[in-house]
Order: sequence, then C-alpha cells, then structure tokens
Amino acid sequence: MKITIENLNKVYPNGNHALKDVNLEINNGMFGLLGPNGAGKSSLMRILVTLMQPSSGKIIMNGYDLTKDREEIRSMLGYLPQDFRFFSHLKTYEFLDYAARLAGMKDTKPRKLAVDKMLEEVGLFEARDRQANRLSGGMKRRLGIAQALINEPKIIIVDEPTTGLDPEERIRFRNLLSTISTQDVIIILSTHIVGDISSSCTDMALLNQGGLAFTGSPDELVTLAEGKVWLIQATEEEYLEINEKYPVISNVPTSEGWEIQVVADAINGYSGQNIAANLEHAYVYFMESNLNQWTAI
Amino acid sequence: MISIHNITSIAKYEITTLLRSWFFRIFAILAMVFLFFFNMGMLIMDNAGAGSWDMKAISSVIPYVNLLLLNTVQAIIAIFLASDFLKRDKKLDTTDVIYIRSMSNGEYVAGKTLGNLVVFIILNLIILLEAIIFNMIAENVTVNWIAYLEYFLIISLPTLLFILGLSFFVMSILRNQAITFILLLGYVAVTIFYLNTKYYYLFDYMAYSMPLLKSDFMGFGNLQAIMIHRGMYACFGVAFIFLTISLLKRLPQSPFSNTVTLFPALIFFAAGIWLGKMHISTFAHNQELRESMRLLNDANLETPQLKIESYQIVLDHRGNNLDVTAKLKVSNPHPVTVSHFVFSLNPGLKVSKVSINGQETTIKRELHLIDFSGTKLAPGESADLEFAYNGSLNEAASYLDVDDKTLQKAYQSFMFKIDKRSGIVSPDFVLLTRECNWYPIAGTSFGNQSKQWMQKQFSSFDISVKTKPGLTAISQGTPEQKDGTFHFTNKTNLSQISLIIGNYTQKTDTIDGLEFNLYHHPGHDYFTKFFEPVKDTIPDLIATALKDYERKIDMYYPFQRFTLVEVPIQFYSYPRILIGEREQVQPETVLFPEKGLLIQEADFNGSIKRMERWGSRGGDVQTTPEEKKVMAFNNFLSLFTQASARPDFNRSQGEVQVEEKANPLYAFPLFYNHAYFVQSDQWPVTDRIFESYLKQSSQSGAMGFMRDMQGMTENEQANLALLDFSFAELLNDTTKAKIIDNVILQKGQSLFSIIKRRTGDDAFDDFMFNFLKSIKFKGTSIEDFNSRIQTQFGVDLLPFMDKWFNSKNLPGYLIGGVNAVNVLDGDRLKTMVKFKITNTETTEGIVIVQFRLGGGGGPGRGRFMGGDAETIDKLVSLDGKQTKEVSFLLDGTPRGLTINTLASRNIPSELRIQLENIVEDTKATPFEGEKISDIPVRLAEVGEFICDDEDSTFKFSQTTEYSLLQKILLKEVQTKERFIGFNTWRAPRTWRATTNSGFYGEFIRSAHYIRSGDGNKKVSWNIPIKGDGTYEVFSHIMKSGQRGPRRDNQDVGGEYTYTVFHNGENENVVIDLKTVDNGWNSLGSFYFSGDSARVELGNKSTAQVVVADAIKLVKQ
Repeated sequence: MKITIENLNKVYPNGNHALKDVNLEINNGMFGLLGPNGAGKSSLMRILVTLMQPSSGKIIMNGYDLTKDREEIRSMLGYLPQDFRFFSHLKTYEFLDYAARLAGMKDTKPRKLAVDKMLEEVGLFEARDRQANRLSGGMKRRLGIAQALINEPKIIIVDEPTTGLDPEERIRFRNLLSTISTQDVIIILSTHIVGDISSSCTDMALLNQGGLAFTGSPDELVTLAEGKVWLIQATEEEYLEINEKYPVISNVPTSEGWEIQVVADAINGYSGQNIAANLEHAYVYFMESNLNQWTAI
Repeated sequence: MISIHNITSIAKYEITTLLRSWFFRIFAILAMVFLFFFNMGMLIMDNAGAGSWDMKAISSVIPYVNLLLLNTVQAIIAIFLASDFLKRDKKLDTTDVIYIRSMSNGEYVAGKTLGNLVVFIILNLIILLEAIIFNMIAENVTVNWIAYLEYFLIISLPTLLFILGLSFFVMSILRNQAITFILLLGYVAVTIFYLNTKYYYLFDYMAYSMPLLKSDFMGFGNLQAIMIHRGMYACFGVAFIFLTISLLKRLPQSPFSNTVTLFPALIFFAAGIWLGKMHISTFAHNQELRESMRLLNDANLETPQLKIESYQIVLDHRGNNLDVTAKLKVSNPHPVTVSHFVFSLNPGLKVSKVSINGQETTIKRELHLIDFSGTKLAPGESADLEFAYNGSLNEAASYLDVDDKTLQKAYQSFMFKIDKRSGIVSPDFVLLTRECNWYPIAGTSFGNQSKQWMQKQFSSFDISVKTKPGLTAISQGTPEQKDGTFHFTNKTNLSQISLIIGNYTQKTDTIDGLEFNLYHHPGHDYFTKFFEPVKDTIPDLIATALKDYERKIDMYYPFQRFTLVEVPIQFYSYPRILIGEREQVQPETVLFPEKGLLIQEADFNGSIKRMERWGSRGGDVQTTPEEKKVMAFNNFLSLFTQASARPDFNRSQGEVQVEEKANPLYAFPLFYNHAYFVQSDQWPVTDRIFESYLKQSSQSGAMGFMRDMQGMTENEQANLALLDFSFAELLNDTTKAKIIDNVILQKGQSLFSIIKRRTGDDAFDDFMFNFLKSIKFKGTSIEDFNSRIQTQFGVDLLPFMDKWFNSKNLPGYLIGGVNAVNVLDGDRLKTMVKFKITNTETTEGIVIVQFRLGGGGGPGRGRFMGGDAETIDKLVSLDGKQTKEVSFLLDGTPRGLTINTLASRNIPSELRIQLENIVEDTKATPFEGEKISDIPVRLAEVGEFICDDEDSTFKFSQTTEYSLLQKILLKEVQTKERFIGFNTWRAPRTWRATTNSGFYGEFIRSAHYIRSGDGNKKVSWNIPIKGDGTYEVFSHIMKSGQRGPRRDNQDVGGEYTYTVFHNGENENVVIDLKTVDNGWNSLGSFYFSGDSARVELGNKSTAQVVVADAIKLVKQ
C-alpha cells in the first residue's frame, strides 16, 4: 500500500490557501499528521477521504487516482471524522451494520459476525441495543472507531481519534491501531496529541500554514531536537525572564523556585543541563525554531 | 454498475430512521384515527345506521375516498420528511462516514427515495387495511379488492414520487428546510385552492380533482387520461430525483457521473412535458374541434334539412370499434327542389361508402358533416340513402351547445369526482344516444346561429346489432334475438333511439298491458331479496304510481314498454336551454345511473333505517316491516315523477349554499318530449313552452326550505330577471342559464294561462288533448297550432307571441280582504273564500289560486306518503290595471291558500295565506265567481300611514366592522344578493333583507333581520304623517306557524324593544313575541307633530334574531 501526494493545493472560494504544494509519500503502517490548528490537516484529510476536491495536484492511492477512481478508493477507506457525535434514530449495532453494509459486506451472516466482533473489540457489545445518540461521549467515539475499522479497510484515516477517551481506552485504541498497522494497511492519524504519534507511528508529517514542514520518522524529528532541551533550576525572577525568552515545555515549583524545561539551541546565562528529547520537545522545538525563524540568544 | 445492495442498505436504514421519527409517528396515528372515525361515520353510522349511500353504492368509492383523504395530508408530510433528509445530511457529521463509502450518488439518493417511499407505502397499506376492515364490516357493500391496488397506484404513488422528487430538488437548491417547507406548502395551497381545476386539472398533482371513480361496468371513465396525467407527475418526480442526484453535495464516484445523471433527468422531464402536453392537447384539440364544428354548422345555416322517413341500421360491435350500415329513406319536405343537403355523423366514425338509390356516390366529409351536393330532390320526392361507416365515438362532438366552463365543471359527490361520458364504445360496454350522433341525422348539429339541431323528426327505426357472446344489446322496439344478433323493430315512429350493449341481467314483467324491463349489472341486484316480502305488491305499486302521474299531468304514457337500464355512473348529460329532455331519458327507456349512486331513493336499506329513526322519534311504531318496504319502493318510484332533484348543498366559507337542480331522471320527457314536438323557426323555445305548460301541474313549487336557505326561489329570480330583460334576451344570455328553466316555466305558464282565459279552461284542455293526440309521434309547427286554435276559438296567438317574447313588463298584484267563512249552500256546508286582487301594472296577467284542503301529510312527508296533499287549483286572470273580487266555494275545509302570481313583480311569487278558525256565517250568501271592481286594493286606508322596510324612509345602521378573518370566513360579508335566506341559527350580523309572504309589502313582501346583539344596530322607520295629532302605532310582525314549526325566534319567546319618538320625547315599548298577533300589533297611541314620525328598533333581544318589517300609524 502506498499513497503518493504530489503538488497538492487547496484554495477555498474565500481565497484561503489551505494546502500549498504538498508532496508526500505514505507507506504501510501508521502515519501521523501533526500540526497546529488551521495548518491544513483537516483539508488534507477531507481530500484524502474523497469528501473534498483538491484545487490542483495529484494523489495516487495504491495505484488509483483520487480524482478519477473514487469508487475503488472509497472501497478501501475507513474514516473517523473529528466531530462524530450526532446520530439519527439508530441503535448501536444498526449503525455499525449500516456502515458494514456500505463497506461492502453483502452477506448477512459474516456481516453479523463481523459487527458483533467489532462491537466486542471496542467494548460496545453490551450497548449494542442502545440508541447510538444516547451513548456517552467516549462510547460514541468508540462506535466511530468501530465503523471506521469495519470490513478491514486498507486505508484508515482517523482525525483526533483519542479525544474524549479515558487513558485506558486511549491505550486500548492505540494498541488496536498498532495491531492493524502491522498488516498491509495505511493508517493516517491526524492528531494534536503528540503522544499518540510517538507511541505508534512509524512515519509522520508536520503541517503548518498549509505547507509541509517536516516528513520522516518521529525519531528523526526527535533527533533534530537532541541537545536542545534544557532542564533549568530557576528562581522566581529567572522563571519570568526565561518564560519570555524561550518556549517553556514544563514548569514544576520547587522549594527554591522552579524546575523548568525549555527548548532552545542554547541557554545563555542560565544554569541548566541537557536532557533527552522526546517527540513533544521536538515538535515544539521544530515549530518554534524552524517555522517562526526563532534564533538562539 | 448500480449496486442494489447499496440502495437497499440505505433504504433500510432510512426506513428505520423515519419510522422512528416522532413527526411521522404522530402523523400516521392521526391519519389512522381520523380515517377510523371517518369510515366509522360514513360506512357504519351515517344515514340512520345504514351508512352513506354515496360511499357504499359503488364499492370502489371506499378505497378512492380513503386514499384521497390520506393523500392530501401525506403530500404535505412527504414535503417535510423529504426535505428533512437533506437537512440531516447537512447537519450530521456522521453523514461523512456514509459519504466516504463506495457508492454512487445515484445509489445514495435512490436509497433515500426508496426509504421515504416505503415508509409512505407502509402507511398507505395500514390505511387501506383499515378501510378494508370497515369495508368488510359495513353492511350491503362488497369489497372491490383490485380497486384498492389501483387507487394506490393512481393516487398515492405518483403523488409521492412527485412531491418527494420536488422536495428533494427544492431543498437541494435552497438548502434550507424551513424555506423549502414554506415554499412547497405554498405550492400545495395554490394547486388545491387556485390551480386545482385549471387547464383541465393539469396542476392537480394529488389527483384531488381528477375524476377517478371506477365503474363496475367499464372501470375508469377515462383510463388513458388518467395514465397520462399520473404518468406525467411520476415522470416529473423521477426527473427531480435525478436532478437531486446531480445536485447532491458529495463528490461523485466518477468525475462525470453528475453530468451523466442530467440525461435521465432531462429525459424524464421531456417525458413529463410530453405527457402534460398530450393531456392538454387532447382537451385543447377537443375545444378546437367543437368550435370548428359549430362554425361549420353555422356555415350550413341555409342548407335545407331533409325528412327522414325511416332508418334501417345494422351495427357490428367489435372491441372498440363499431361497424355500421345505415339505410335511410329520406324525402324533401320543402316546396322547392333541394340540390344540397347535409347529414351529421359523429366525426369519430369514418364513412367508407355512401349510395343514393343503390348507386354509390361521392360525398364531401368535413368533420361531422356528410355533404351531398349535386343530388336533386324535387318537393315530396324521396330517395334511399345508404351509409357504411366504422370507427369509434369522438365524445367532444357531443353537447356543442354547452360552454366550456360547464363542460369542465366537476361531477362529484362530496369528495370523489366522476368522469362525464356522453357515450361509450369499449370492448365490454357500449352506450350510444342521439347526442353521440352515432347514426346519420338530417341537417347540422348545434351552431351559434343554427337552430336545426333541435328540430325533432319522428322516423321509423329498425336496428340489428351483433356483439360478442355474453353481451346483451338493448334498444327501443320489440326485441328479437337470433343467432347472436339482436333485432329491434318499432311500430311507431320515434324521435331518436339509443343502444346499450353490456353484460346485463334482465328482469321483465307485464303490468296493466305495459311491458316493464329492468336491465342491471349482474352484481348489482341488491333489491330482489330486499323486496322479496312485498314482491307481489310491486306491480300494483308501479301501476298506481304510473296512473297517479298520468292523472297529475293529464297525459298518457305513449309507449308499449318501459325499460330501465342501469348504465355506468360516468354517463352524464347536461341540461339544455332549448331542449327539455335529458339524455338519461330515451324513448320508452330510462338510463339509470349505476347502482343509483348519488340517488338517495335507490338506497332502500337507508330509506327503511331513516324511517325507523324518524318513525320512532315521532312515536310511529305501527308501521310493519312490509309497509316500510312498500314506502321505500314508492319513494323510489317518486324519483321519476319529481321535476327537481336533491338540491346541491355546498359549504362555502362556512355557509351552506343551496342550488336547485333539475332531476335528470324525471320521466316527463317520456310522456311529452319523445312523443310530441312543436316546431318554430322564429321562436325555437316554443316546444319548451308547450312542455312547460304540460309539466306545470306536476311542479310542486313549494320549496319553503329552499327559500329559507337562498332568500329567493329560482322562479323569483327569473321574475326579477324578466323585469330587466325580455324573454328573448334571457334565452341568449348564458350567464342566466341557471334560471332559464324557471324563466321558460314562468313565461310558458303566463302564455298558456292567457290563452286559456280566452278559450275557457275546460275547452282548452279538450282542445289540447285532441291536438296532442293528432301530433303524437309526428310533431307539428306553431303555425299549425295557431291555425287550429284560430279555427276553434278565433284566437290568433302569433301577433301576441312577439310581444310576449320581447316585452319587459310584468304584472304586479296587490291582494287584500281575504276572508273565509262557512256557508250553507243548499243543504251542504261549504267554505267560501273571498279576496280582492288588483293588477297594478298595464300588462295583463294571471294567478293560480291553490287551496290546500285538510288532511294530507305534513311538510316533508309527501314523498313517503306516495302523493301530495289534496289541492284545488283555480285561475284568476286580470287585465292591466284591473281589480277583481273573487269568491270560491269549497266542499272541504281549506287549511290555507296559495296565490301563485307566476311571472310577476311579486316577491315572494307565491303568497301563502293561512285560513284559521273558519266559522259559519249564517248571513253570507254562497257565491262562486269573480266581479270586476272599480276600487283597487289599498294597502293603507284613509288616515293610515305606513312605512315599510322597502321604503326609502326606512333606515338602518350599517356600521358593522369586520375583522380581516371575519371578512375571509364570513360569506355573508361578500353576499351581494338583494335578499338573503331566513336563517335563525346563522343570522346576519348586519341588517339584511329577506322575503316571505307573511311579511308586509306592496309587491315585495320583505323584512330586514339581524342577529340579536347589544342593541347598537338599529333600524328606523320615518313615517310621513299628515297633521299633528294622536296616532296609534302598529308594528307588522310575522308570527310563527307561518314558516313551519319551530323555526322562528318567536317560538322560543323573546321580545322586541321599539322606541317611539313623539313630540320631542321618546318612549320604549316592549313587545312580547309569545303573545303577538300575526300581522299588525299595536305599540300604543302617541301624539305626533310635524310631517313625519320616527320609530326605532334595536337588535337587543333575548330572541335569536330581530326582524324589522313595517310600521303603521293610524290617526285617531
């Protein structure tokens, strides 16, 4: 499985240039899409799931052209939109059955089994006869995941999938996706939770202001931030100063003042030590330094 | 490839969603509950527990009406639900996960449409099931299973497809459910209330106005028109659905599929438009044809008409085709040689061969006319013509004299509409009357100037009919059946013949030497079992009814047999101005509407139930079941002897409107129109005048309740019209068509009454008897009549006719001094009734004085009693400005007298006078006769001053303000009629005039009345007086009893408060209505000065209404 995106542009009728010359190659496994609000993540996702037409550019999914071969592409898709809350008068299993039918499961018996199995997997089997619009927020989310995964889609596109899930559910969900990602599938995960990507994605991209800021593995992004993460013991006065100069990742009050983590090429004038960078550090470092033309002091 | 799986998947969950929506559930339950009560009421409880006859007589009415009701509402609900699906799609994010699935937009919209459709189909099934259950529970009605399916396919399905498609489409464009809903509701309202019947119900997408009633004889009246119309809406619906696919806000599966779906959309649109055009063009083409035919007829205005001595018709009926050979013996009745003549034949029948005296000849066929030129016929010379023709009927050629508006007027009963067919040729049923012009008729048909069409010829008819096995042919004459051919021969000449072919069961009997035949649909024998207990009595009942009627009209039934044939309900005829008979009545034959639908008298079971209900209320428990059945049968027979049919009751803006209707089954044409004819080129209405003269004795004329509803009878409206227009003008005024029969009647009565006055009553009756005898089955001209009457009585009618035809003057009568006493005449006690009558106008006139003798039935019971109360009619004629004192001696005690002023200025035209407490006057001299008096009837004696509500000095307040809603809802606000009905339960809110012979008045006996209120709405009489002094003030009050029992406010008591203004003061006088006298009631004596006195009456009363009539002052 492979998705190739070439020179993708999206300009809305109001002139908003949501995607600018995006070039991207996505291979099997889990692919993370990171970016601040308005970066163009949703536009890209909606284009990928055939809900929206790109203004220009080309997307080839598993050999199929997205603008021409929607039938084939749609039959490979599983999609969970970000805002997935409103259902008409359908029961949980009915909604999933509806999705399964449209996902191409024609035979009743295997479909029934698949629906039940999926409900088990997302922990909704007990709630199968409940009206979908009366489920709790987390349950609705799980139902959303279930419908995206039903009938083993080849390309799974999930937008902020773990929002509203409790930590246990989140872990379960990550594991579920990880398991699936070992097969011949592409999972595209758009998220603002860096942890979702660090724990499961093999590849990722960083979008900002419609442009692609970074592509590569999460480790490569982390490498960029190695030696740039500092742990500083600071007094109250210093903390206020540092907070103005550098992006502060965390701040913990101590008996002497504050223990703060910052990302910066160097921390001139402060005593601190380099610590190991993680993806979150890398994301902040990358966004702050590369994109905002931030220069070390 | 279209995925059925995808479509059904979407449909399945759309159905689930819709079935769970509260909006749909509530609507469905309401529809079920409403139709439950509707069916319960109409099929079980109505009509005293017999169920509504209109609903039950023909079983297809039940599914028809149920679906019509459901359809009206479901069309609105469908708009909401259909627009809701796109709204949901727009709002729900869950839709995204559906949209990304691999399915085409077409499959998606198709699935949604199917889902919506199925939900409504389920509802339809439930409603139909409910109707079937009631259909099965209801007594005396079969279940027409196939009709349930047919009406669903014709009414519901195209409506749903169309409205769903339209709603999807509008919603796709507007993308706002509220605006879509309002816009489409507006469309629904416009189609129902405005466009409804316009352009031949082209816009009637709900099939609300389309005639759809299905006959048991021939199915739908016009299946082709129905298929075209419904097909059109189905096509538009599908086109809109395809457009919705194109407009769906979802990326299509393939880049061009949105464009591709435009093609089927266009194709279906084109198909819809094509069908719509076909629908309109059929009607437009017919209209054009009719106009061309009229023009062609007028172009042949001068072409002489041949006399047809005999017809020999051989007809072969095959499927939708007639193959006919007609041999005619014709002659030239004119004093000159004729070299150009025409025959009319329905334009749908193609002439293949024509020969004259055995020689094939070429003719010119233009539309309906067969044009012979070059053949010369000397005066009196005869020729044998032979016409071979085949084809079917073009019904547009019938009733050329009927205007388009009347043609398009719905034939309906409360909700369902019935097709109007003038003739039928179908594989299983044929119905042909002269109006279809299915055999050649000499001369032209109707033209705007041409009057040939109404000329009646009496010819000898001989007809042979071949049809498919199992069908029966019915025509005039002695029938004979041999080798599958029906042959009819006639001993007498006939004016026309009809032919009916169908699957019939025949019942026959000879009563009093007259052969009675009844042909009915094999499945419609609902009467044999019903009348089984009284079957031996039935021949007697028929014979009696016939004799009674013959006596009543003083004419004998002229034929050897009487045939009653049940025909499809769609067979329809129009009343004409210059022809008295309706097509339902053919020589020796009456064509009876299928199962007697719309005819109350045919509802035997209902008649009994009604009798039982009314009987038990009136304490009448003596009647045996057999007697009730006899009554029901007599009631049925009376249907044929009543000139008026059930009046039309329409509810308009909450007000009941009543329209008098002629009874198309009235048998009088059998007695007169099909046996006699008096021709006049100058006054074509002459035959109708003779007809109405002969008919007049059978007219009851007394329709009290109609006056109460309408304010004036149609006879009175005719009189009002005759004051402004001459008879000649009215005959040509199509806007007066409603009252033209009444005008003819009024004018006819006055003409003959005047002849009678000069010839003497009995002498004229004898003359007429002999005259008619001599022209029976021959016909004659007015000139012949005139010369005979001149020879016998020396009366020359013709010079008088012209004046009678063109004058605008009417006599006006004042009546006074009515007095009834018992006197001894020899050794017998008789009642002597005297009165004085003045004709104040210069035109001579005549009145009929009718005495109602004691006994007889009360109001409304006459029909059930099988006859009317005994009456004695007398004529009183008056020259212009003449006064007579008349006196009558009667053997019985009269209950009252009615003075029918015929064509006169008097309103009411019938003055009804109660004769109560008649006592013996030993001094009175018995006298019967009339004396001319020099002293005219005076309304006011010397020293009496009267102000009537018709006078200009009578004033009333008109300050009523109406809210907009009232203006819309209250009919009365818009009513322009000078006089309105008298209606205590819905009395007007302003002072309005109404008439009654019990009111005071010169020619117009009227009063103003109003609903009781706070007293602010006042009337005032300003009575001119002469000289200061004391006057006694009287108010004219009509007391109850004059107007029938328990109808008046006076019956329930109450009071009027008059204010008398006298000498600078005013005084209130309260009159208790319970104790008033009928007529003048004293309000007391007052001193008045000046030249007028004023009395006021306000609308404050505990009675329902306040009536202001006249005030009289008598100087003391």
